[in-house]
Amino acid sequence: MTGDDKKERSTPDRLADLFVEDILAASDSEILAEFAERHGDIAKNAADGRALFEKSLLAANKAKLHAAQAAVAAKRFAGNVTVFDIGEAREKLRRALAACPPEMKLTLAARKENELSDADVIGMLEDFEELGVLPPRDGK
Amino acid sequence: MLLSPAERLLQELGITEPKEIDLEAIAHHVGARVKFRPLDGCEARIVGCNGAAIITVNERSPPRRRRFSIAHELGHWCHDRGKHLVCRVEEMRPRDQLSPERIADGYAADLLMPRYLFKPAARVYPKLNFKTVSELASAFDASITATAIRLVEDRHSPALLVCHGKGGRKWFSRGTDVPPRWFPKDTLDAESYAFEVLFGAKPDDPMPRKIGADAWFDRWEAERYELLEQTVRTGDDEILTLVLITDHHMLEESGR
Repeated sequence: MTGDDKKERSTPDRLADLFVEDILAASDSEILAEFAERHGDIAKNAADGRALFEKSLLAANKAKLHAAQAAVAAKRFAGNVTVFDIGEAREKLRRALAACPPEMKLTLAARKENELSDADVIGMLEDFEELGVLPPRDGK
Repeated sequence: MLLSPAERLLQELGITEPKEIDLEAIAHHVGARVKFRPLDGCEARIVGCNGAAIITVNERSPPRRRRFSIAHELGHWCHDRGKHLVCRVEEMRPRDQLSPERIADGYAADLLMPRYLFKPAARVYPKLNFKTVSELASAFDASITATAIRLVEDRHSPALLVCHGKGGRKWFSRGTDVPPRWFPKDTLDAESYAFEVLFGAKPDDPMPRKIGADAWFDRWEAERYELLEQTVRTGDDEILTLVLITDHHMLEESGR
């Protein structure tokens, strides 16, 4: 802040500056004493403030849960019935598992393809399509 | 209290009661969608790519098993992205090695029964028995087995949890307050009440019953002590027994 700026500042601004300077010049114990004089028990006020903050944080976090619940309810739908050639589906799944590069961060916490039933192979292929690992089949 | 990754996730969503643990919503929050459909080979699977995943759960499984499966797959999603794994989701049971499956099981237990909610709820029950287990399992919508493991491993009371099939002991879990020298026998002792439940088709024990410790442990000092056992049936050919250590001498580090 330059001297010229200071001249141009209004009286309330200069008063505010004075208050700020006063606060910055005061020691911690002086500030605490002044606070206690005006608002009472410091520890109680700190605890009340902390409780208010935690209550607000909890409400914000619960809002995230409610948003997720609403999104789940909105997305719930019956899957379409699709027709697969099972041999082709197994080959497609095998290729997808073999070809997936590590940088794609593909996670497969499930059984190996040759241990999967036909229904499980088809279900997994549908999941891969939904996640964009495999392109959707024609007509989907 | 130091929070686990699953517990941090629950707190991120402001979950303060067991009934708020909505696994589909939690999955959505971490980019995973849950589908229910018949599965032939396993209880559940996860397919994920670039931050999005689909968890498919066997719709024919009982509700609490489905919940465990979702939580288990969310454990994979949080720990094992980018790895190719073979996954057979089984009922909650302790596993011996630090495998991805064990990590996913631990994650599932923390998600279904977070300690910051479970411990205060468990403290309401002064005695460890299957009534306590059953009531907590209902409150957290978790299986009897998973809930009993959590109670024993969290040292509600000094105890072991032992699972037997007709072929012998399948697995056991021991609280860290019970010295490791107390290793349960491989096969059920014919004197134990558990034997009658498994082989004699007797009903579940309504409450723990006193029995000599040598019915459960093959150690020279076991004949000096008594303990409590309570057994419930968890399957056609499977029982779960709480072995409660009531003599504090058994908890001393070295045997007398």
